[in-house]
Amino acid sequence: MSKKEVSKGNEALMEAAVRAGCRFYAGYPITPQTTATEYLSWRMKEIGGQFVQAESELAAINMVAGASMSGTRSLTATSGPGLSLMTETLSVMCGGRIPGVIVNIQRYGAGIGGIQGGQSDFYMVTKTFGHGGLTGLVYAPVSTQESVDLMVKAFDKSEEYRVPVVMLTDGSMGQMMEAVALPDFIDPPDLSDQPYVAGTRNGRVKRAIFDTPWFGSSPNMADNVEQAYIAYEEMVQKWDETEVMYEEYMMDDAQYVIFAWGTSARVAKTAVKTLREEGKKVGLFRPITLLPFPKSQIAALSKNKIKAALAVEMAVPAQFYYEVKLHLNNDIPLGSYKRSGGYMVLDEDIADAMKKMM
Amino acid sequence: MEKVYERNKLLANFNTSFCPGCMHGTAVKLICEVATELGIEDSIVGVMPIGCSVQWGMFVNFDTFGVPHGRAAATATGYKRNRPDNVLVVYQGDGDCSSIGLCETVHAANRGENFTVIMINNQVYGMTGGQAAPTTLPGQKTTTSQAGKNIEEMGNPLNLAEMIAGLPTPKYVTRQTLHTPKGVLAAKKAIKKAFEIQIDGGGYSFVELLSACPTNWKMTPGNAVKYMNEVVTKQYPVGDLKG
Ligand SMILES: Cc1ncc(C[n+]2csc(CCOP(=O)(O)OP(=O)(O)O)c2C)c(N)n1
Ligand code: SF4
Repeated sequence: MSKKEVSKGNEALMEAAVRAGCRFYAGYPITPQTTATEYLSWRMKEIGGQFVQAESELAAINMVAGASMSGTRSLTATSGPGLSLMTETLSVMCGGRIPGVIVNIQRYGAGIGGIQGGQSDFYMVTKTFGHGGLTGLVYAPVSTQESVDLMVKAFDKSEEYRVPVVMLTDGSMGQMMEAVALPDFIDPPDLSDQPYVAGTRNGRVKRAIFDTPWFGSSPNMADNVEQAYIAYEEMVQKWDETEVMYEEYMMDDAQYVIFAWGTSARVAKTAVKTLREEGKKVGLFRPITLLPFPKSQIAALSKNKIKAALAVEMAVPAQFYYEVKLHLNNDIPLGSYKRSGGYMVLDEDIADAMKKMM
Repeated sequence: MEKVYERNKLLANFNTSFCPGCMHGTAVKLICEVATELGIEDSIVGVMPIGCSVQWGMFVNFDTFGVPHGRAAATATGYKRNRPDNVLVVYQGDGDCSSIGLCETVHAANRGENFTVIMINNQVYGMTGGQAAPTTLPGQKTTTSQAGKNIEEMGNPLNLAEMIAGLPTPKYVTRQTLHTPKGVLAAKKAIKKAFEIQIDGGGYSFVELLSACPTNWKMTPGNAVKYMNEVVTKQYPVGDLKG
């Protein structure tokens, strides 16, 4: 861990990727991601890596997949509209078991939406990566510090499970100047023997890396595909035990819980502090992994202890709220406070919304 | 007895599943023969696109990787930039390369990526059952131009090799045909030249190969060859366009 320096969120996160051994970046400019792409346009060259300004997000994610199949730690960053374009290839990467890290610096809204921060890509990355129903891991850091800390892990896990890993930040986090301690430099790992890497033969049998697992132990292709998808589901289910990350703040004696993730959780923490000063026993539950979602941890909250809860997000219609509701004990009333249009959630509004439920 | 011909070692030891009279098989064989002649058996890597062309990955004894429909040149860019010592063959159909993937194709060519694109131009979407492609000839009947392709509605045939040859960056651009023995020999020479440029770090090369799809043209293989001679090669003249 280096000493703390002040840095913009996007730039710090890209520097963290370089330090994590990432040596390939392809991206297409989109606000609020542009500063990330600009940073790596010179930084990758400096470190002996490759930077490609892609002709589109479609091309960018495929360049990343290609770089991964060369055995290189690779990254792209984008925002909502670009992520939509990438989804076919995310599906292909899941199916072909090809790693790669995708940072989605969220902006709000549907279609072109707006360039201010938002959290409306929650469903898009937590339900399925593109068509087909396969998923990778999804990290949702609350701060620049947490995002840089998660970057090394994102690459490690992406390679361990051979799935794409998505990190969700947002426009406000990306622009914010913060003091941050960057991770130490690690050497890029040698991945040439990985089954998703092509062109490193040295006498072994040939590899045909393909998105649909037609070939396996059975002469029947349909059986091979089904078996591979069954194994995939088992892997994803195990993540519920091994990969869930979350933060609990003042939850020990809490009678009221605020659920929030990413930037919303940062604001919600202030609301919790205010409410605590007023003597209200409020805590914060913050998923750090959106996939796997902390299902059993939320389900374990007791109706005997928790009187009411509030889900906070920068997304209208709500998304995260419904996910919490799915797992939270039905006897605990759950409210929804949400903003869109580029408006931030406000700590005083969160506190008011929570108080209304008391 | 003296052995005068044997199956190339880079070709898998089973029959391909291409239709009778399809020339994909010829193209794949040429790639393998050239790779053997250049001694790049251990460094050649192939890209499997989407289309009938995807099958080539199954029929060769070297590493290949699959890509989404049309994205071959982008995936190839990410791969080759990081494995500059491997010889990368991006094998695509005309639908994959000149329709859905046109953007990636042109930009990779314009950046001068150091790989070889081999585009099989059979003027239809083979795998999906013979729909019109950007390469379909005026008046040609396909399942989506049943009265014959109307260029007022569907546009003129896209001569991709000429388009790419118009860019300043690509090193070698050629169109060859697979329907005559002479054409096959010239196609092999073209593939070899393209690989040699790549091995020398020379940059981007594009080899378009005219090919038959008797199944979707609804012709016998013999008539398909005649049709290529009399019609196809008129729209798509054979020869080097650049380099
Ligand atoms: C995104 C997407 N759209 C459509 C398809 C369906 N599709 C599969 S192959 C193909 C056409 C292939 O034609 P061509 O590239 O000419 O290759 P050929 O089969 O003739 O070798 C299409 C449209 C697909 N697989 N993916
Ligand atoms: S459908 Fe056409 S392109 Fe496909 S294998 Fe048959 S002849 Fe060849």
